[in-house]
Amino acid sequence: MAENDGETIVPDEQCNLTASTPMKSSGLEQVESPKERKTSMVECDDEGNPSSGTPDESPKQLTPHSIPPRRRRSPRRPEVSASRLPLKVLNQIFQYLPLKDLRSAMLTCHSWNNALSMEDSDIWQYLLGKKLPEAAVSDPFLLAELGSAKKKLRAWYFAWNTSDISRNNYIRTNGFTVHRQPVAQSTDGVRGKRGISKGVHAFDITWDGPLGTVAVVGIATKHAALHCVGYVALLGSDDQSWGWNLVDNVLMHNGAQLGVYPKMNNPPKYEVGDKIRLIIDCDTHVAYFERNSEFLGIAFNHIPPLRLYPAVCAVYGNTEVTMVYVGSPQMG
Amino acid sequence: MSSEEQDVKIVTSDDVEFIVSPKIANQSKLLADFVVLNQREPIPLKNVTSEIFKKVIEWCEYHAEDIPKPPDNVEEKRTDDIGEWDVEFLKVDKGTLFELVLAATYLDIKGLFNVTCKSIANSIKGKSPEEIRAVFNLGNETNME
Repeated sequence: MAENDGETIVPDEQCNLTASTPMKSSGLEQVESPKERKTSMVECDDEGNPSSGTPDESPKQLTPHSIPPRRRRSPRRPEVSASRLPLKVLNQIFQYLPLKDLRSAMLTCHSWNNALSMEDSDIWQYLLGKKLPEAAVSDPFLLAELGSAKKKLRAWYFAWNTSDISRNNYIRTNGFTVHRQPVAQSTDGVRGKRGISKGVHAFDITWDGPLGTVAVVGIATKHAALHCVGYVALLGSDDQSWGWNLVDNVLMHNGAQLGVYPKMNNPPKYEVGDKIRLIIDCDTHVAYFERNSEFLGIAFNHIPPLRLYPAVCAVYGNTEVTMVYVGSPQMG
Repeated sequence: MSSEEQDVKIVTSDDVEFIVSPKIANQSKLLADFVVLNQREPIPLKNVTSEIFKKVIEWCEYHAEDIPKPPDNVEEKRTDDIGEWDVEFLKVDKGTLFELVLAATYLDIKGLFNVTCKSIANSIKGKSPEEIRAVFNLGNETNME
């Protein structure tokens, strides 16, 4: 608790004059309750003299209550509103908030929404550094297509799920690449962390290793199996998943082959390292793929209104698959 | 009183004069430069009222002997570490709290800036947008411009 420190106050007549100044200001501003401890806030210099103004400034009056006609008070500023806080202040405040509260802040008022819409601001840079693995942040290619810290952070929340994965798969330290271990007679899948049920969403999927005899990309509900014995096109083998086997270019759902994809004669084989973009349009209940930005046609339609997760299943030992969420795709 | 460093003279936006000791002024990066310069002319603070400046001085007096905190990029971004004295000090109306954070920004007093921002953040945590608007009195339509 702050108290008057006697050692810092020289109680002479001139010091009192300085101490009395706040009372004058208090009267001018009609402050209802003057602070009792104001004298402790003013200290005297070595000579114990309060300063005297230069001729350029309003002369200091000896009588506390007199108001010289020449004095000009600064116009009283309107009370500061939370919506008028400067960007530097907002950025500092928002850095203390978890994501859930940032969402509420975005919906609170226009200026806060503006501050949080700057996708490379300190807020998103800080969260990016805090949430993403160092291996992802320092990889120059992994998230290169995502143009902002906020988008990279969002991709992290959609990445492969370390706790929703076959036991023969593991997620590499970058958090975005699944690695299948060399286990015989096993098919192993993984789901993304976050499912979607409305809107249009795009996921970039790259098979970084050999395909083997089965390499399926697609979508799955929460209940689709992620492991089975043998080398099976597991994704698409039941009514809970839809898959595109890149090895033979066949679409699968509910155990049935839906035909060749892309829908053309002799569709080209997938080249390892090509980027496949999976687009799920929940509003029209369709899913389709692009390969190296080329639209390949509708793959699945009449998809039921369920929460859907991006998924892959693999059989080849030490193969790897990377998935990066990109949000709503650019409509060309 | 140190013979090397002189008090600095401040005039707030409402024309109130203050004499501030170096141990207080040096907590403000803005004012610390004037201590070094041995500035004799009063320093006008056009953005700070006397009422707010008194509170700033009160905070600086209490924290005059604080050991400097580690840099921001090392510090964990937590808001549950506001000291007991600061908690009481910041029990003011929201308008005063905002004026304090603006004064801390203008005067460049890092500790006061951080603690006021944390206090405001604590008023946001766990609340819906409607609740935040109510807490900060953002009901006017003009605030939604």
